[in-house]
Amino acid sequence: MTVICENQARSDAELMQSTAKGDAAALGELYERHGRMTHCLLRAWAPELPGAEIEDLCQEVFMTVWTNASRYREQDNLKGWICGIARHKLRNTRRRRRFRFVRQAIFLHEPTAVGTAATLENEIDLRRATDRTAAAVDELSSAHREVLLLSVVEGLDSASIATTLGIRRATVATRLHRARQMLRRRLASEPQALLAEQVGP
Amino acid sequence: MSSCIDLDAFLNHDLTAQRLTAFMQHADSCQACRRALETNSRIEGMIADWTQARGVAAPSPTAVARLVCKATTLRAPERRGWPRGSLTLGLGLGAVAVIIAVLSPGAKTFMKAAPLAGQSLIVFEPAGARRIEPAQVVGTVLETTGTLRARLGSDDLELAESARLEIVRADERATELRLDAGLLRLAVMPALPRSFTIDCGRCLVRVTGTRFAVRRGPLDCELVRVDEGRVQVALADRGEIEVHGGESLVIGAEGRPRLMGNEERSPAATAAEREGLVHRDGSADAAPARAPTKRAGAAAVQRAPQPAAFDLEQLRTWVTTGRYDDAERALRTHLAAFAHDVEAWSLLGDCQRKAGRFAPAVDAYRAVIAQGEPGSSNRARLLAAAVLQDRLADYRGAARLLEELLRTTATPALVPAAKLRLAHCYRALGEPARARKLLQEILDEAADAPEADEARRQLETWVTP
Repeated sequence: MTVICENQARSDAELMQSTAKGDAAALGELYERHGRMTHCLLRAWAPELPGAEIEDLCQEVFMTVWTNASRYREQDNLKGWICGIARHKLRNTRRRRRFRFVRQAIFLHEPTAVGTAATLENEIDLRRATDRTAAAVDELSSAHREVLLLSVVEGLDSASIATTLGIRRATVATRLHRARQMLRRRLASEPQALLAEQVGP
Repeated sequence: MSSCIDLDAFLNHDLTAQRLTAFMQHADSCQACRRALETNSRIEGMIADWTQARGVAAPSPTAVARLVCKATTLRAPERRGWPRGSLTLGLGLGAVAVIIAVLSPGAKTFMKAAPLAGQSLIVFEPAGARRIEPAQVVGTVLETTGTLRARLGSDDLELAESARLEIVRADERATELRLDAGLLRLAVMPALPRSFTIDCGRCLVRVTGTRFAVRRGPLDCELVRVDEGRVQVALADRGEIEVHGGESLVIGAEGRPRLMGNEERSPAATAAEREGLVHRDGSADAAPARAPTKRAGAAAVQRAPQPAAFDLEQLRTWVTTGRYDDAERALRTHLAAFAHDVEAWSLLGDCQRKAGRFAPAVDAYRAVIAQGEPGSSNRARLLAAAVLQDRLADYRGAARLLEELLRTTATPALVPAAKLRLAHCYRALGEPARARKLLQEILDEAADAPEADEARRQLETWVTP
C-alpha cells in the first residue's frame, strides 16, 4: 500500500490549534515530534526512575498538552511549554513515590528471549561497556546533562536550548563547555580504569 | 577567516552557514581542532551509549497510538473563551435540567435509550496494526498461538501461550472480558472512570487501575499476579479476596486460593508457574488455602505490611547463625500477613527451639500441624515431641503427638525415630510393655535404620522396673 502525503508537515502552532479543537491525530504528531525530547529531558532529570515510569510520564505530559491545548498561545515557545509541564509532572511523581512502593520491573516489557551462553556473554560484555560510558553521563549534574542531551541528541543550538529551558544563552554555552570538559576528563582516565579492572585488585 | 575560537560554537550548533564552511576549512589544517573533534565524536558516542542504556528513543508507533486512543477515549480538550458569568449560568441551567430529567417519569426510558460510546480495539499483528471499530468490538474473540498485543480503549492487553479472550463489553461505563484459556497481562489506566472485570471461570477479577496478569491454565487453575495497585478477585464459593501489588493469588485445581508475595516465590517457582501453573512446593494443590475473606468482613482482609523482600532462605541462615531475635521478628511480621505459610511457621519453631524458648517453639510447631500438610506436620510433630519430652518433661503430650505421627503413613523415614521416642515416653509413663513392643518393632521393621542400634542396646540392657 502506498501512502501519499498530501500536505507538508504542519507547524507546531498549527498542530496546537488542531489539538485545541479536539484533533487527537494532531496530538499524535506533536508527540512524534517532541516525544523524544521530553523523554530525554525526563531521563536527564530523573535517572533513578524506571524506564516504564518515564514512558508513562511522557504520556502524562502529552495528555496535559491535550487537555490544556487551548491555554497555549501562538507566541509561546512550545518546547519550553512542554518542558515546563514535564518538570511539573516529574515533581508530582517524585512526591507520590515517597508514599508508595513502585516496582522496578517493567511489566509489559520483561525480556522473553533467552540466548545461548555465548550470545548471553557477549550481551553482558556489551552491557558492561555501555553501562560504564552511560555511568559517566549519569555522573554529570542534571543541569549539565540536560543541556548536553538537548544539544547532542536533539541537535538544538544554544539559543533554542536557552528558550526551552528558560535560561540565558550564555549559561547554556558555559554548561555545555563544562559538561564536555568533564566527559573529556573521564575519557582520558578511561584506559587506566579499564586496565585496573582487567588486572584486578 | 575562522579559528579555534569557533570550536565551541561549532559544537553547540551556533555557527552560521558561512562561518561553518570557514571553520571546516580551518579544522582541516588545524591539528588541535581535529583532535578536539575526534574527542567530541567519542563524547557523542558516550551520549549514544547513554541514550541506549537508558532507553531514550523517539516514541514508537504503539506509544503514539496509545496516546491518541487515551486522548480520544478519556477527555476532550478544555475549551476557553467562555465568559465566567455564562459558564456559571450554563452550569446552573444544566443542573436544573438534570434534576428535572431524573425526576420525570420518562427519565429511565430516556437514560436507557442514551447510547454508550464504545471502545475501539487495536490489535498489533505481525503484519501491522488492525483497528476494530467500536461497533464491532463486543463479541470479538482473540485467539493466539504466540504472543499478541492489543489495545482496548486506553488499556494494554498482552495475550500469551495459546490464550483465548472474548470481549463481552467495552464501553465508557464498563469493560468485561472473558478469559477462556492462557495468560493475559494487562496494564490498566490508573483512576479508571469505569468498571473493569475479567471472568476466568471460577473467579471474577475486578480492577481499579493497575498492572497485573491473569492466567487460566490447562488444569483449570488460575493465577492472578498483581504488580501495582489492587485487584479484587471474586470466587464463586469463597467470597472476595483482595490482592495487593507485589502479591499473587493462585487458585488450585480444587478451587482453593493461596495468596503469596511475588518476592516470596523463587525464580524457579515463578518459571514453573509460568510454564504449567504448579505451586511453589511443586504439588497440584497440597498446601492449605488461606481463608479468603467475605466482602462483609472486608476489614479482615487488611493485612500487616509484608516485608519488602521476605527471603525465607535468608531467615534460615539467620537461624543457623544465631540471629534468633531478628529472624523471629521478621517471621512474625510475615506470618501476620500470611498466617498459613507452613514453611515460615516451621522455621519459627526451629528458631524458638534453638533459642531455648521451648513453649513458643511447641506453639509454632502446633501451628504447622494445624495446617494439615502431611510432610511438614509430621516433622513438626516429631520436633515438638522432642521438645516436650527432652526439655519440658511432658511425656503425655509428646506421646500423643508421636502416636498421631505413627497413625499417618506419609513419612516412613520418620517412623523409627518416632517409635524410639515413643518407647522412651511409655517407659517414663510407666508402660514398659508397650515400650518393649515398640523397640522390638524397630528391630524387625527397620534393622538398618540408625535407631535400630539404640533399640537393640535398650533391649539388651532392659531392666524391668
